[in-house]
Amino acid sequence: MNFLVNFDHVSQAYSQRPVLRDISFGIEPGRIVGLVGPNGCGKTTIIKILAGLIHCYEGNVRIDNQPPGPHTKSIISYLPEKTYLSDWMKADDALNLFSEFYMDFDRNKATEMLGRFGLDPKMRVKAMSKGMQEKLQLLLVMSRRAKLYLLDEPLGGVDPASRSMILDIILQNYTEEASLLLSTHLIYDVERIFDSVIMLGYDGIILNDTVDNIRQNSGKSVDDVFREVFRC
Amino acid sequence: MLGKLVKYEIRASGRLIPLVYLAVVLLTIAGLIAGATKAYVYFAIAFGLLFLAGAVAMIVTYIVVFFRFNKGMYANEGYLAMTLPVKAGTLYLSKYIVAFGWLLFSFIITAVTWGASFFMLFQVERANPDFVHVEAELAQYMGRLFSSEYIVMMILSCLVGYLSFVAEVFFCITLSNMKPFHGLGIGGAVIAYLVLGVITQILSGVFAMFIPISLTFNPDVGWYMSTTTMFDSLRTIINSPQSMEVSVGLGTFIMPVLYAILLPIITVRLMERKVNLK
Repeated sequence: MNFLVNFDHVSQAYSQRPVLRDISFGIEPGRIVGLVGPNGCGKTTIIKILAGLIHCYEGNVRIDNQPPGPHTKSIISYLPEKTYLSDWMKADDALNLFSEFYMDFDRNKATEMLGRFGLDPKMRVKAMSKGMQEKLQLLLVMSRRAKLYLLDEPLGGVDPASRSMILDIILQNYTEEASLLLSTHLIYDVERIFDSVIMLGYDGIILNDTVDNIRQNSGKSVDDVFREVFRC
Repeated sequence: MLGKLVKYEIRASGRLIPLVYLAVVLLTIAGLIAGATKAYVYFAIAFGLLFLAGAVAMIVTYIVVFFRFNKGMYANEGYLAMTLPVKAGTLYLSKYIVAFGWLLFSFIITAVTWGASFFMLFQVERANPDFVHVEAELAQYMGRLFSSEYIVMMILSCLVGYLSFVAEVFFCITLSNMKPFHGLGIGGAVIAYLVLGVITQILSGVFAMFIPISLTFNPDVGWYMSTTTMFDSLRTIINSPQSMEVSVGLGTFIMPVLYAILLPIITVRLMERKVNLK
């Protein structure tokens, strides 16, 4: 099968504590994949490895047939959990930076979204609330025509009313040929958009299947399956 | 890409440093005016402030450039910098160029400030007949000391020293962001720098002492290149105290030159293979 992402027998540990144990999966082009699991199971670590932020791991990682590096970074649009824009920047500066470094950045789309979110282009990042900063980062990431979108907990700190708006923005702006890997523990809110799900536990992958198959085989929603597996 | 990275790095680091420069310039002007009024109390205050301002300009620059490197590469902003489609070497080089530029510029500002404060001192001294006049003697001595060889050596030493210093600090900060040192935070960088400093001092001392190429100072002829080792020069001084020749071993430059060349390469390798963003 032709995978855009090949994650092959990857293990990683933080200070002797294993986080990923021999994890393998592939992501085909044009798929929306949910990376779900409890806190601390390694969702962010997987995304950071794909984004090229973690280098010490065992195993083999290929994106577009290449190991993480400048090429893969040029085709990946990554939204981290953290706010990564400099304090001194205005929203406009952030748009300039993205258009200067990413060939696939659509500035018109970003400007249009900036207006839709009610963000002032001249406002400094420092003066923005956390929610505004998250919106700015999301619009920057979704204004790229990337081959792979990596969204790490995009709904983490967002109120329930804003969640569906964010999901709509993601769905409206990602290109059909692109793949999207979205990590979350708020499965109920997002399972409607997933084509398939990788359910991660503390000892490895518990489930890796399409949403249709999961529902058909278990007779339950992904959220119900998740609750059943990780019941305390 | 390098040009764009340098542009953003200057913008990110250039918010505080120019303000410090402005303060230094204003203090220099105030000091020169105070010196011209011949009011010695004001002059003494201005002289002290000028000296302080020069030192503050350097210290602030150090803090800003090294804080920027850590923040821009390994803290939250690193999530953006490290995911830009550029090579780690290009990213590193942009920070290296900007840090070196600021440090050099601050050094010049400090040198000018301190020069201005001494100029003031001589102005006051010249205006007061009760003071002991030393400037003529000092100028004569300086004229011999600051020969062209010495000035060239000082400039080279300064350039190599800064290149090496930036490379050392960037290396130590990077080291502290590797997996085994994650728990130590920025303290890891400080410890690494101290350890590296001790090793550097020992090796530099040995190279300076025993490598037979020196810049020798003779009060009659000034500076000249010689193949004397610094060790032999010191032995001569100890054995015959009337000897006026002093040699400075040029082997002392070996470590800074090595660091300026090798540490950036090692740091980029670590960034590419060993560093994990927290």
